[in-house]
Amino acid sequence: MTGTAVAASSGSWRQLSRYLRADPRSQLAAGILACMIVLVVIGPMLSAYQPFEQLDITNMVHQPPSRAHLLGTDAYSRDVLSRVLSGGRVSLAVALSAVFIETLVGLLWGLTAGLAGNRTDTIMMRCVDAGMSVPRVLLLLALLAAVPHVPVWLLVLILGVTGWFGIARLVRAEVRTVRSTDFVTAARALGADTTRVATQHVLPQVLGPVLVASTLAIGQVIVLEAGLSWLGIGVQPPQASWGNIIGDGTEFIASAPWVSLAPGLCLVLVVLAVSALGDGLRDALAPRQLPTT
Amino acid sequence: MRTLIQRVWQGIVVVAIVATATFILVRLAPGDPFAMAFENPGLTPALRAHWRAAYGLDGSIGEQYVRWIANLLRGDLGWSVSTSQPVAQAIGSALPNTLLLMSVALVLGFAIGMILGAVQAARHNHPADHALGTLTLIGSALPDFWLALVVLLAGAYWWRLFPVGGATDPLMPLTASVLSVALDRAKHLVLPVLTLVILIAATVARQQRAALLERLGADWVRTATAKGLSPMRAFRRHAWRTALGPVVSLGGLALPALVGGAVFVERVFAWPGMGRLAAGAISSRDYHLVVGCVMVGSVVVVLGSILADVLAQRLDPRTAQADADMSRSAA
Repeated sequence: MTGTAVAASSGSWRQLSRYLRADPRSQLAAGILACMIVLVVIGPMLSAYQPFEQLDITNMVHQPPSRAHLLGTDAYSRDVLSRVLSGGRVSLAVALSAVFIETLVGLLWGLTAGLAGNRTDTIMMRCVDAGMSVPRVLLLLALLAAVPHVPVWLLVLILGVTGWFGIARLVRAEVRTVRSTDFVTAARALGADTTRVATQHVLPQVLGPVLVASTLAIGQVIVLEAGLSWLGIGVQPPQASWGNIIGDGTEFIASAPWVSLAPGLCLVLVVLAVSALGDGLRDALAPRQLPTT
Repeated sequence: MRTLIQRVWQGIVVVAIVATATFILVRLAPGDPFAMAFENPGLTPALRAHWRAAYGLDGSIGEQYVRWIANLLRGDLGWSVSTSQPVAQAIGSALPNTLLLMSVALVLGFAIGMILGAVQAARHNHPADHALGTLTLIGSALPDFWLALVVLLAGAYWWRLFPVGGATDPLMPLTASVLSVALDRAKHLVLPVLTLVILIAATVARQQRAALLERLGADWVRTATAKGLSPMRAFRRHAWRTALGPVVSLGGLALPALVGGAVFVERVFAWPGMGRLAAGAISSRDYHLVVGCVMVGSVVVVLGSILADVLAQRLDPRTAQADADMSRSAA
């Protein structure tokens, strides 16, 4: 029983990857993402300057892009390329970890609510409704205002705990659908307890839609973190992140636009790639979702 | 009607939860509006304590909360320390600016987005569809604050077409004619509205295209065409009309993001609205103003989503009927 279930799910994963490989847009998106990740992981080791290094505060401020400084220098004479590479590391790491927390909390919350049903379900979903009707930015502003000089791990945690409502609602809806299928009834008839039903039968079915939602959430969180860091309440200087590099350049947008433009373009590229990949995943999974209508 | 009352009631509960949570959160951090200016020897602890008492910031969180609720029920939102005026007055001068910006952007963004989506659906899989699809995908991936910076750079520095920021020209003579005042307002609106319109139109277009394609493949559209309706009429009266509901509901769902986006866009264009007021209040630890701003923000979101639901119901009588059935069976 378990054997066939695992085989079926690994088979559908193989099918998914085959579908994605046939879709040029997903291919391009995955390629861009892979390049970006390699760049921000390896780049800082190869770059000639330290991201915090103030090269020459009297003569080297706001140098336009040149061969020595491909993306120019900023108001403190720091090399913008080095900062963009090391900032990318922070931005991507923060987004991925925050989405991991979002997904985990949303998955657990949705599974519990969906499987418990009745009163517990109602109460848990009311909490989700309340969470979803608050603008996330306002919630984050209020939370982060309470923590001056927020450390990165806390920022990740705060981003994670303010973003799981949508995933919880999605998981709960999927669980309610899967719960009434014949194979779950059969598993129950064979004596499987709730934990076994949840992990062996329901979880593999909801993972697909969750994967799509999490992929799309990565784009949202990258932009959110950038916005908060740009306002000065996200990743704290001198630690670079794409958001606070754009923030450094905002004041000098007319005289030194390269400082803000370069990290912004990286941001757009990654968000585009992530949302294209999310769309591709959704299209790939769509045939399976059709029968529910 | 029953559901409407229920929605308003739920909305009030949500706003109350948000306000209470913010009230507690902003007080959790060490320091308050009077903890700063340590270097001034004239600021004795006794004086600080006197100020705290005078502005209602003394006592435990519980006491402050009870006092704040009591004042709120009398329509008093408290005193804003950083702007030296009542919170209601500070919000009263900022809110109209934000509402103006958001309503113009929403109307234009929806109009443009719906037209683009309709063009895409009508030309499904043609080059125009693909080109617009790429553009709207990019548009929906743009970070709001960065797009605002690029629009500012292009429209105010490179081409010098529009003012850099603010809502009005401070050098405008008081005797200026109504027409030139209106023109001045419009000129200041262009760049921030453009930023928001790009973001809204991209999202709306993607939704409109998907909703229309789903309906164009439906049996009743095929029936309408088979009956002899022109393709244009079938498209307009049967597909477009039924796709309106979902697109309007999307507007309600997108509202929280839009309110959040306004914080960033207002900051870039120095637009004297709620977003800028809230950001300033947070950095100066102006408790009453922070709570007031967040509360007004959530009221706007709640009201907007109720309005979107009512509109969507008006546009699609089936959902209204379903709701009516539900409340009848519940009663």
